[in-house]
Amino acid sequence: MLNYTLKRLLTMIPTLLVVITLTFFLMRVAPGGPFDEERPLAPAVLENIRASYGLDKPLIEQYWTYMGNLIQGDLGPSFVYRDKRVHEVLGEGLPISMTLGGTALFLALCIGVLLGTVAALNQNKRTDYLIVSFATFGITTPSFVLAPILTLIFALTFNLLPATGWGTPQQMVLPVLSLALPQIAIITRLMRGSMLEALRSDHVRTARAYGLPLTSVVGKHAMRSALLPVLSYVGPAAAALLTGSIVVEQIFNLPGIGRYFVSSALNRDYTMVMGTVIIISTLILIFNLIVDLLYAVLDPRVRYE
Amino acid sequence: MNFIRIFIILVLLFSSAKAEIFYRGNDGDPETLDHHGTSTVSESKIISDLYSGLVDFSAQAKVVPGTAERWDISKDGTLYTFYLRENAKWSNGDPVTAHDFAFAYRRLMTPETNAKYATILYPIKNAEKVNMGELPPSALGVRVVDDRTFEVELEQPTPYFLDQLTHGTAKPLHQKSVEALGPQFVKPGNMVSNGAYRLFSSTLNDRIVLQKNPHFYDAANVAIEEVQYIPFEDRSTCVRAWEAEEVHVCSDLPAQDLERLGRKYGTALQIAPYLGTYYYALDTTDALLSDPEIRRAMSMVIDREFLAEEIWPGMIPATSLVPVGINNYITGSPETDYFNLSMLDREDEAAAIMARKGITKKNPVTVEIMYNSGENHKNTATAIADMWSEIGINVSYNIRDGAAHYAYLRDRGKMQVARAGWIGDYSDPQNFLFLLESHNTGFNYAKYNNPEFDGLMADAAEELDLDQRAVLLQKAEALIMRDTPFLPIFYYSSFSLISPDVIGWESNVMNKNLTRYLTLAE
Repeated sequence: MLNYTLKRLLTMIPTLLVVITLTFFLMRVAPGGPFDEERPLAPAVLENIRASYGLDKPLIEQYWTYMGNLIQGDLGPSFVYRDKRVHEVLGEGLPISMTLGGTALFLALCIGVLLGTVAALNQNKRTDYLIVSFATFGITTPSFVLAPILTLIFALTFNLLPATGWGTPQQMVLPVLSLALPQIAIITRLMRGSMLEALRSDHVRTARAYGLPLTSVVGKHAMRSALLPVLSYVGPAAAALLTGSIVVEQIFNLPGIGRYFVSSALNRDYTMVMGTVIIISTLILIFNLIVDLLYAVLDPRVRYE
Repeated sequence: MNFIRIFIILVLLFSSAKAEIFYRGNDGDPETLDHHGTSTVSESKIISDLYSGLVDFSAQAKVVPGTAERWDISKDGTLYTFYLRENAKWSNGDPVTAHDFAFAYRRLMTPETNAKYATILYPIKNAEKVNMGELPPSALGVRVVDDRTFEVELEQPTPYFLDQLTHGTAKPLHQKSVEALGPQFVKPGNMVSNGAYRLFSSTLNDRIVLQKNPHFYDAANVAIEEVQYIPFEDRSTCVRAWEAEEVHVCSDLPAQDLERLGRKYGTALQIAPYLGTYYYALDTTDALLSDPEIRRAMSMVIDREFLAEEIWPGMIPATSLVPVGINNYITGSPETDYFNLSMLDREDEAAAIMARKGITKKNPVTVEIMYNSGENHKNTATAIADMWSEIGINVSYNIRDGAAHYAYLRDRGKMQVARAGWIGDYSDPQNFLFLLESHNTGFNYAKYNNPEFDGLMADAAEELDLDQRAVLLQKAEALIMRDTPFLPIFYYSSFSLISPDVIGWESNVMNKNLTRYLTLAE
């Protein structure tokens, strides 16, 4: 297992290198540059600015410079936020995005697994219909619809919670709910389906036939195999949630990093695009590894040599 | 019991603190607080609160004395002598001297500063050459006569020079701290400013907190103790925050909300003419569009009232390139005859012009409109395409995102019609008309080249009498309206939501409202 983990960690390096290289060159193929704005700059000024960021050098030289700096942990200067370097910008916003996404993920996992299990155990009964209806509503209501509705009800009509901002526990409630509800719905449906399948499996039916209590059958035997599909979904979803949601961050005006995934590409903030890509691809690789390792823990048939 | 007491004290503390803080919604986060690097509207608001230039804006955005209490202008209009206030001080208590202005202006023009808007102060003698690296910064036409007297020599008389000095790039810098700290001088705790406020904290995409500068020369008349600039990328979010009373002011509002906001909040919604024009540039070197009559017909047939009502509520239909309400334009923009006709007559006349050229609905030509992506730009282009179809012009579209669109225009790529807009840097018609000077390759997207127009602009540049100059500029603008290299569509408007608790907000054409003139209701 340790060997396998180390091997996987090592294969992450070439994968990341390929992603970084592709992003670097693809970004430069896009027309326009970071200093092309509605008001054009005087040619000499533009030349100066480009030179000061090294953009006047041959592309391959820029690439090697970037990679050299990257190895030393420097993500370079932001082309838009001229007072800051990319690691500063991302460093300020990432903890906020991670707190928001982490809380939403935790809620979604706890509630989703619970609701899915309850629904499966009460298949075709009123509780099941209620939970499935809720899940269907959740899946069909995306965050960009849910968030303004929640704001309208809780912030603007009843004045119970703030409409925007970040910093207090109250300010977390609506963004976390907006982000978590669709995830709860998805996990509930996945969990219900896999739990139903698990309950029908031979080993669970045998356990029940031997007269083991229901809690033990579900908690010990069915849950392990029922969690596997949820796990497969949560891996990549966690990477996306933890790096922030542009929609939720924009609607609640949160200073996370979700916005940079779009704005940096539109502004041709090359170094910022690279920074966001590096973060999300690293997280995806790490979460995929965690999911694979957890598979081995949950399913005794899976063994990594 | 103790718990309740503590709770009440906390609530009182919180509410009293909130009453003194002005929460100001901003269009976005500043790219930098180094005012030599700034270029956006959201930055200029913060810089105007942090720094006081030689001249400043009044509450109505008129040019008034700032750190300089008065000035003399030589008879030939090329030498300005500014006399600084005795009580002008930096936020650390140091006096503001002429050296600080000379240092700042030389730094602005130094090529390595990479100042995006250095061109604003090109009227200063040798400025352009210094900025191009052809002369050393010491050759710039500024001179420190003594600590409180500062001289600026111009290349040629520039009647709008004082207006230009209101721009962020013309603010001073605290020489000692900038030299000692380098680029770090803009950080909280490092920045030394001379305006009504000083920088307290800055958190990217969260807020920028400014606190009253006790050393400001007019601090006694500054009521608001603290202002927090909160950036809103999404205009609708700002509206929701305003409705939840989390911000006092929202600038720039979503068009679809204007009607509801006006109905619900009455005078809290303020719409005012803004110094800017939304236009289409027509490439005068294109085989088809090189004919000024065709360009004129294309302008005649656009129903600007319809576009303003249906697509851009609050914007003002444009009948000239220079927007209404601009300074130094006593005559105002010239009248263009076809704007007095009804839309039906204009359509008939335009169709007749096109028919003479052999272009009709049955025998149409195709023209490409190039625009940067955006819902309203798309709607505008679609509506204009429909209007042009009446005179035998079919439209194809070429849509790029902002950076790609402007890069293409900058590189003078092949085009026919391109969307663009211009917000005035200072309130003078020259700042709009110069866009079409033949040597202005950066801005003259139409590639318009008319020696008569260039001659009038050159004459106006040398004319010291403002009335005479206005007449020359009006003649120049009449040529543009006749030749139609640019097809003006709207004058911009500014949209703001102002809480009834904010006293002293005066909407103006520059869309400038310095916090120092505002008060919060108790």
